[in-house]
Amino acid sequence: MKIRKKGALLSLRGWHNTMLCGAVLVLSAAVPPAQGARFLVSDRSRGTAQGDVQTLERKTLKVQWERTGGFAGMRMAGSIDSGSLSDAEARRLRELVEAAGFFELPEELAGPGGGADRFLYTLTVEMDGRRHTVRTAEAAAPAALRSLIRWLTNTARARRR
Amino acid sequence: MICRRHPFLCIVPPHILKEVTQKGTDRQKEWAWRTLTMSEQVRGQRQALGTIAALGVTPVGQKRRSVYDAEHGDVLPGRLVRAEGDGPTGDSAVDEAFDGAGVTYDLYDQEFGRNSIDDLGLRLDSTVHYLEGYDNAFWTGAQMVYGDGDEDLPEEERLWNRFTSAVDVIGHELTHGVTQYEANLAYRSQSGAVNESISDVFGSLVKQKTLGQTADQADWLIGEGLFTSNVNGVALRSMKEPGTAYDDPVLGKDPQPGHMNDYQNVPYDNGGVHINSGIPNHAFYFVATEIGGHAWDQAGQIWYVTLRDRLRRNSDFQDAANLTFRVAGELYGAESTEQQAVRNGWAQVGIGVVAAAAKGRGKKKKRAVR
Repeated sequence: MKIRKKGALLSLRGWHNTMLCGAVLVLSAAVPPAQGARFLVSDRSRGTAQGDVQTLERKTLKVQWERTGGFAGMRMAGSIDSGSLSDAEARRLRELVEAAGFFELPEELAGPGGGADRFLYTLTVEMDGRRHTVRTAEAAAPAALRSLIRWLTNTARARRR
Repeated sequence: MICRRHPFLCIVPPHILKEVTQKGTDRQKEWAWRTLTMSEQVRGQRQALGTIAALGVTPVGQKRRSVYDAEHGDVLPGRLVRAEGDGPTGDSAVDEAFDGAGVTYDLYDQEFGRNSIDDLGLRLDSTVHYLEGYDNAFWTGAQMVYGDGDEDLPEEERLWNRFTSAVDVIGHELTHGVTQYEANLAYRSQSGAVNESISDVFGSLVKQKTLGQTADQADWLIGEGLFTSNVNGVALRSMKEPGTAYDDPVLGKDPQPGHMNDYQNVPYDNGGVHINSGIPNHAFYFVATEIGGHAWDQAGQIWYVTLRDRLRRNSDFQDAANLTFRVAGELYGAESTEQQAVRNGWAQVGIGVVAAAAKGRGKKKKRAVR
C-alpha cells in the first residue's frame, strides 16, 4: 500500500495579473497530468468503512479560477491541483467542491443586479473525470460556493509571495 | 380600501409626493413621506422609489450616517457601531467610513446642492470589517461595504491596507449610489466605464476638497495609500497618467488606457469597466487642469449636471463627451473657456465632441423632482 502522494505537480500560482504575465492559465499546461496519482484519503464523504483510511485510485482534482472586477479592477487567476496539496488540504478542497454541488450549478450565476465594484469569478473544476465551469457574480454565489471561493482566495493569498 | 383611508394615495403620483417632501410645510412633508412609504409598500414599487421605505420620515437636508461592523463575516449590514451624533469609536475603519461619508455628503451638498445619494436625504449606511482578508470596497445598491485588506496576514506579506483609509474610495462608492439614482448607467462596457469614471471623478473631488487643492496641486490618484510598502505602486489608478499607478511583480501592472487608441475590448470585468474608465478619467483631468482653480467649481459642475440631467442608461463615451460639451455651453456660454476646455479634454483622449444632438439619445432627461 503506497501512502505517498505523487506530487511535483502544479503549485498554486495566484495573484497574477495577466496584463503582465500573459496567459496565466497556461501554467497548468507545463505540468504533467496527475491522473492515477495515489494518495491516502479517508473516504468519509462516501460513508465507507467509517473513518478507515484506505488507499484509493483518485483522479486528481483541479481547479482553475479567475477573479475580475472589484474596486481595483485587477484580473487575478490561478490554478490548483490536488496533487500539489497536502492530504488534508486536498480533502478539504474536495469537500468544498462537493458541498457546493459544483457540477449541478448552472454555468452562469448572474448577480441580483444593482451595485458596483463587486468581484466576478470564473471557476473550472475537473474532478473524477468530470469538468464544469461556472461564472458567478460575488453576490449571486450560494453560501457553499462562496466557501469554496474563500478557500481558493485564501490559499492563493497565502502563497502569493 | 386604501383609497378610502388615504384619499390621495391613489391619485397623487410619487413625483409630486417627492416634491412635497422637499417643499411642503412640515406637516405636509411628514404626510408626503408617510404616503410615499405606504404607497410604495402597497404597490411594491421598491425599484421606482429606491429605498424610500427604509427612510421613514428622515428630515431633508441633514446627514444621517450609520456605520455597521460585519465583524469579519458577510452578513449585511452587521452590528450598528456608530450613528449620527455619536463621537469617534477609536476603531479606525469605523471612524474613517463615518468621516468619509460625511465629507462626501458635504461636497455634494455644498458644491452641487445635492441632499445625499438620492437628493432626498437618504441615510448613508456603511459596513466595515467585511469578511477576512477582503481587498475590496463595493456598493451593494443600498449601502457601502469595506474590507480590511490583508489585515489577517503577517505584516511583511501584506499588500493591501484597509479600504476606508483612502477618502476617495469612500467618495467613489457613495457616488455609485448617486449614479444609480440619476443616470443609472448600465454596469457594462462603455456605459459601465463611464459609471466607474464618474465615481473616480467625484471620489477625487472629495479628496481635493478635503485637502483644499486646486487642479494643478491635486495628485489625481485613486486609492492612494491602499497599497502597503510591499507593493511597487502609488495607487490603484491615475487620472493624470492612466496606466502608471502600479507595476508590481505580484499584482501586475496598471492596465488602464488613457486614450481611445488603447481602448480594451475585454470579456472580463463587465467588459473592462475598471480598465477603460481611464479614458474618461483622463479627459476630466485635462478639462479640470485647463480650466484651472478648484476642479469642483467648473469641471465638477459640468460633470455633475451631465450626470444628473443628461446621461442615460446606455450612454457611451461619445455621449458623455457630447453631453458635457453641451452642458458646459449652457452653464458657461458657447465657446466659453470652460466649453473649450471640455472639447480639448475629450480631444486629447481621442474623442471629438459632436455639438449637435445627432443621436437623439442623451437628450434632456425629465426629472421628477427639481
